[in-house]
Amino acid sequence: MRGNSSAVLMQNNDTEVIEKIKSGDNSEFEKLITRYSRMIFSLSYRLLRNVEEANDLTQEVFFRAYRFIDKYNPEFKFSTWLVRITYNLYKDRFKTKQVQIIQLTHADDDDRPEEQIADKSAGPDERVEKSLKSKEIVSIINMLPGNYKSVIVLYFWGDYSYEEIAEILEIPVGTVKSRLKRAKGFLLEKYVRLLEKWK
Amino acid sequence: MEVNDMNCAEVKKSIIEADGKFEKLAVSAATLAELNSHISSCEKCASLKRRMIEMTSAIALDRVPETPGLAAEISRRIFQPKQAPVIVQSEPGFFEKLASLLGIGREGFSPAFSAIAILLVVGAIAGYLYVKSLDSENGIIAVNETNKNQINPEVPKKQAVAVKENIVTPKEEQKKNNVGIFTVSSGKLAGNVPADFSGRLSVAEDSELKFNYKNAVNIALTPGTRFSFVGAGIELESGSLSADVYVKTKFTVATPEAIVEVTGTRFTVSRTNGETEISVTQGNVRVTDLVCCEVSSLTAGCKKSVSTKKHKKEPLKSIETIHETSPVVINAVTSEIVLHDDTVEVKSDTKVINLIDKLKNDNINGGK
Repeated sequence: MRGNSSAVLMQNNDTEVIEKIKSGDNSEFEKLITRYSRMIFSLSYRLLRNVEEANDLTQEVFFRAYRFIDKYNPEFKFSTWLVRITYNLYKDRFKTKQVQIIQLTHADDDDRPEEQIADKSAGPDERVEKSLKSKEIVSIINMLPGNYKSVIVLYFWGDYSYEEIAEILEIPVGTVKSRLKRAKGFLLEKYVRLLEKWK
Repeated sequence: MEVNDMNCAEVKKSIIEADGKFEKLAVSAATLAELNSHISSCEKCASLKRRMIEMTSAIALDRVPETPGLAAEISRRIFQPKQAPVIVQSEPGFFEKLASLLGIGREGFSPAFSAIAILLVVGAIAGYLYVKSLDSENGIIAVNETNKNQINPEVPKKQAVAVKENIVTPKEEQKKNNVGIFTVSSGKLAGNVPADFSGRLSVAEDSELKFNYKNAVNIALTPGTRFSFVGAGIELESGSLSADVYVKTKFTVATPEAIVEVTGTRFTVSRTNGETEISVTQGNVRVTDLVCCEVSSLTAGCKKSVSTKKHKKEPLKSIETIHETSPVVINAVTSEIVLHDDTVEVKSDTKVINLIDKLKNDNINGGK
């Protein structure tokens, strides 16, 4: 993770725990659950935006991790492995769900989400405005195509580096960078327009 | 990046990449200075930079709901041993009763499965017996020695058996080979009839031959009509044929001048002296004349004559209303007629022929 100095220490600790689990001490897995369940839930929630579904996805992630712990490769961070499982399970759900896809490079479409938003919130004070801005940006992120959304979620909320995101999503670092650039550019454009509407 | 070439587009790229914080960029001090210089002199880029920082902060404000007890829930799901399912003994249902009656216990296959399997077996046996009875009723040629003798006492046993093999499973064969199933209701044939009913056949001079095709078409042939069974239809050499297609099915009547492909109608086809006449009682008939390359439609109450001689260079003969002359007058829906030049193209490619006992009992061999 970007700028996390305790990551190495935690990774060493994880390796020890996993070794114990592999040698038969299954109760050690609870440590990993305690350590990472919140992180995985947050990621799941950011991807799904539904508490129940995120809860369910988180449980499924740990269930799979426990079941396939023998397949874990200690070369990678355990948290990264968990996030990868999360992402793969999310992808499976994403495939079966109808998701509204929006173009990242459009010029003059009329049916824009921020236009609906602007009418709802005339004259908010600063606090409310910040909250609204956050919600609206999140809603725009939520509408991104799955491959862009995953990158944005991992970048902004997962605090992962380009390399880690590439590892989790199993795509080249260059692809991560280009997706991030496009997605962030799109979000910035939307955000600027949103503010213009609010003026 | 060349410092001197920096413009708004490049600055925007850097703003996006660095989330508005240039210090995050892995660039030289000179480039960083140029970026900051650009921002201080360009209000548009400065505004964009502020917006990017604001947006990033707004994203960071997003909060995830608390989920107390999530870790415990996950642990419970993973480590809690599965309880043995509780089996509730209910009142026996229909299938269970049936299975019980048939002596099949609860320990083996499920009662429903067992009962269904038994029903299927019983159904298969009943079906087999039914097919056997149909064979007997419909007079499939040479199914047994008695029938064989009735049709043609001179047919050698080997040949008869070969015929039997071809038609022993009428429905499957019909599907596979597009074989028609003809069931004679009355009438008799003239002359020696081949055991497999192949080749040209003639209706006895003192008899009108009536038969049914696949429970979908009633067909009547006038006395003396010469014809042959071809695939899912009849090739008419001379005489008159009336058909009532009361269930939509593919049925073809071919003459040297025309092919009448029927999907559901009532019509008559007659052929004398190289001329084919088609008359329709009701419904519509589409006529495709390949000689003149024209398509016309015959409506109910109309007739059409087709002759290869007449059609050589003449346009399609006009449709004229006819008076009721056909021996079979019935309702019609639709039909299609395809005319060929001097040839008869039969789309079905296999032998027909199943005739019922009625045909055999009508003394076909001694018809004349």
